[in-house]
Amino acid sequence: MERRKIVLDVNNDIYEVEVYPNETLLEVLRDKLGYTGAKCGCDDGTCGACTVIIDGIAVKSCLTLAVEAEHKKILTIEGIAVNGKLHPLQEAFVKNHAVQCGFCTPGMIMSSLAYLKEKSRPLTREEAKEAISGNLCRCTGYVKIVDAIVDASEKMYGD
Amino acid sequence: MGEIMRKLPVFEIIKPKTEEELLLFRHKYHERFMFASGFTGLIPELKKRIYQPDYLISLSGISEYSFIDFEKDKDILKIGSNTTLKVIIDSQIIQDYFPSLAETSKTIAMPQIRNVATIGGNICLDTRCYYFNQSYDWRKSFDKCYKFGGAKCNAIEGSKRCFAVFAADLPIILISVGAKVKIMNELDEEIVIPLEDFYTGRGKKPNILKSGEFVKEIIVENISKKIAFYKKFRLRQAIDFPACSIALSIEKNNEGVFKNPKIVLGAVDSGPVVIDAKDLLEGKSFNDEKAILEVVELIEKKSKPVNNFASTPFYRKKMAGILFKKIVNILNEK
Repeated sequence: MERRKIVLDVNNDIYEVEVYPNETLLEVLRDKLGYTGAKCGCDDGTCGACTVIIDGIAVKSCLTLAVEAEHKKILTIEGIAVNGKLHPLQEAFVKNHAVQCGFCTPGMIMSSLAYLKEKSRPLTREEAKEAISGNLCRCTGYVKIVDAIVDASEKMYGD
Repeated sequence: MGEIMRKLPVFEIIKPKTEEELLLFRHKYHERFMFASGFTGLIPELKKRIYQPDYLISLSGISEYSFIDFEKDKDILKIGSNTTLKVIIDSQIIQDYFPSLAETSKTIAMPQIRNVATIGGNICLDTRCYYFNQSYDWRKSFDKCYKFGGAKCNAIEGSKRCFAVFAADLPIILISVGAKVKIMNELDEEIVIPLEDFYTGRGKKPNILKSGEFVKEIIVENISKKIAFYKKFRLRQAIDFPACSIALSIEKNNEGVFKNPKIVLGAVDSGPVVIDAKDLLEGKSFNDEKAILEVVELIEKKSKPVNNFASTPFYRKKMAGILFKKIVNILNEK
């Protein structure tokens, strides 16, 4: 198996990194580039804890080969705060107590961010649930997470 | 962290950019490779060592296989096999001429999967079984089953065949409207066959593709004359594969009757189950309770789930009939 050098654009930083063809994007982000925000939960595409945004769409980085992400724009949870100021979604998660153990939180935020950017308007509770339908949480019961997403959507796109 | 993750097996990846390159590669690496497009179905199977190819040929870079085209004068809809479910859901052409395909796509998995999974991948989805969709270590404690070249089925002791379940969604609605599939065969020839004939009904090898062959395009004729519906039962409303599913297609008419009805069941056997209900339904009103009940009985009879998948065989059988009634209710409300 040949190692190959690829170029990854993570949160607008460009990295030249040597990867094997069988390395997932999640492995490369966490183990080679130090982006540990995306979490490895189920490792087979069920739980959504590894969700990142590639070229504007939410994907599961445990199901994405690193070589398939080359030359695409990868956004992780580490890249959404601006100049140290939390993203409105992050703020809403804090304010609404939408975090308990926190393991699923980066995935929840990245899934809802991609959904919100696509809709570009305040979300209903049903839409917020749809946004995170591919993310599992073992602690919160989801109510506070849905509260936070709706809250953030109103802050971002409300009048 | 790396130790917690399940490493993928060793393979090389080949990324052709054009069909010409793809055809060259598939001859070069004959029988030692697998195709992948969205990767969402294949990567878990590789992690579980269900398959261990030497090479993966990625179709994701071949943009000519990603399209949706409707020829209005001929009433033919064509969808490239590399088209993602997300593109199908958002397509105005699909919304206008085959909205139930968009609705069906929306029920598959979850947003992160639909964003990258393709129609070709769903059509070629492997069969599933609780006894082999498990980790390598878990499987090791059982004898090799038919799926892996063994001589037994671990789900049904003493059975003579593999009972793995065909749980793909899109083929069910596509077969109901008589879709065809364009395959690139071993000789670099394009052949078009009814999607219904694409499936073998065998759990061990669910479709007719030989090594090196792949699905290039899906073709639906006379779609504007038909109306189709799809319903499925699953344990959770997202993520899960269907435990049973059903599609019904009829010819559009203003008389409130079944015209050229076609019913297809999914996830109740090792292939799509096409039900011949024309004798029972042709010309009958949507509210003909006797005819509907006869069809429900036929659906239950033709559903042959076994205890190797979500829910129980009895419940899945019953739900197949109930889903049909739900579709009829929609027709009555229209």
